Amino acid sequence: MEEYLEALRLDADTIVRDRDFCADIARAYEATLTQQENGDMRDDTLAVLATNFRRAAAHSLLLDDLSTAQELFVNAARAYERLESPYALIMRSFTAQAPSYRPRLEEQLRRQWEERASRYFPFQSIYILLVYSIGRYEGTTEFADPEYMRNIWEDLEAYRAHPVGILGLPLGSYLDLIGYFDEGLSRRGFSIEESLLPFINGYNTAVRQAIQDRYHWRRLALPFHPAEPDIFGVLLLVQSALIRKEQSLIEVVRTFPLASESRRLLNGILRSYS
Amino acid sequence: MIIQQVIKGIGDISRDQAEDILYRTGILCTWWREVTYLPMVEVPQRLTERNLFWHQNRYEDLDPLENDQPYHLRTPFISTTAGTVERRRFWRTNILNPAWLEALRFGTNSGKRNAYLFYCYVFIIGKKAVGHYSFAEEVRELNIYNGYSPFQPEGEITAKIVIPPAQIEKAEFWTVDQIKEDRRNNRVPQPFEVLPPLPPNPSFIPPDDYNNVRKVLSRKVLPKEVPT
Repeated sequence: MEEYLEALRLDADTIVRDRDFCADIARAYEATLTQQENGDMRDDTLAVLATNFRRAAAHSLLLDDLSTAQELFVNAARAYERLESPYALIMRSFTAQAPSYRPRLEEQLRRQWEERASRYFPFQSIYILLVYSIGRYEGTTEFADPEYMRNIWEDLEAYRAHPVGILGLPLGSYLDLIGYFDEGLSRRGFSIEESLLPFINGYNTAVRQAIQDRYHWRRLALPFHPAEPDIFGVLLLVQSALIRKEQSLIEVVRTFPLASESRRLLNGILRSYS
Repeated sequence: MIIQQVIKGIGDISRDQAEDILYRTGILCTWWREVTYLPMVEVPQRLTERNLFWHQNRYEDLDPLENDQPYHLRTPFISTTAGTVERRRFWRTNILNPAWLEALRFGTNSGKRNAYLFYCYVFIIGKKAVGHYSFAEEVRELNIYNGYSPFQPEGEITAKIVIPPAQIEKAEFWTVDQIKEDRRNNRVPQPFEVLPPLPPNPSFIPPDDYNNVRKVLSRKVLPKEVPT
């Protein structure tokens, strides 16, 4: 593992230390929550602890410590769920357990339907659509209302250029990927390679950009993380769906021209989940 | 113009050095510390876009303009952090980083060394002003994606040459042992000591009389938590 990190110009000791630091901070904030009333302070607390669990979990992926990563992603998911953020679904995609978020999600769906213009930003619904479209291939669906999903899709089409997540990938990229798995929502007919290209290319570009700043990269002192949950959360959903179709995401990605560091990271993390 | 609260974490300095910063010298850029007496005539030559880029992206790289010495030894810039101050940013990026935590993590190297966190304010003009040493650069505004960059530390504000004592409110002393103790007991870490022990810092000029003070997110999570 240390050789793997060294090849990525990362330091295992730094990652372990920061992982433990972030996890402890998150737990400490979590311990305060029972004393909180509703309001901005509570939401800030949840957001900080969610962020730190997320970061600690991503560090664990780099360390090839899958069980700790999954535990921390579960903690992050719970925090995002308490914030009623659909991003919790992306956190859940890293976990071994089947998502048990149905009651919360049903409430979120109801709120979305009733409060279309939002308590949270409407484009966060993209995460719901993503899980809905991929989940159909798992034989069961948590989302029993295709018409409602169609309505979300139609709403989000207006936000195609809107940046999503850490890397600011256009929301349209997510819609196109969703459309690949759910032809009922989109008739554009992209291939899996075309659908994945914005994510793989976005990730590759980010790694190449970030690694040039050796000072911040070595300390992982950037918002973008080498095991970026925004990217790998989506890829793990895709991987699980492709496995059901007896396809391999790693094989699909093999055809993409990537920096050696990007490929090493992609293969390493995807293999640990396959 | 905006007055922005920021925090600067500095590790491995003594109490005397912290008091020097707080009451006498302010936070100096490494260039000034390196040369002892600042040659003002060189300031405009150093406050350039190129040097700002190097400060933000090539901090440890060997600088051909400085006899291949690591750039950070002669930078005229000072990195500080305001963390995430806009809650809307959280809903776009799904992460929220308070300034104190960013400064603590950096200053202590994630709990590995003692550090002082200096609570300051800087002036931001809202546009690029690299050549003006009076104004700090708000890195997040220099980039695409709604003023946010995935490749710069979240909330980085780059000051120039010096942050004078008049703009430094207090300093918190954080120790490795205290942080470990807090972590062991599942407590949000607290500083071991605050300077000055009794406010206010006599050198500090509060910005309260000015408009447009943009604050950082507090460490406080409970209304009754003891203020530091």
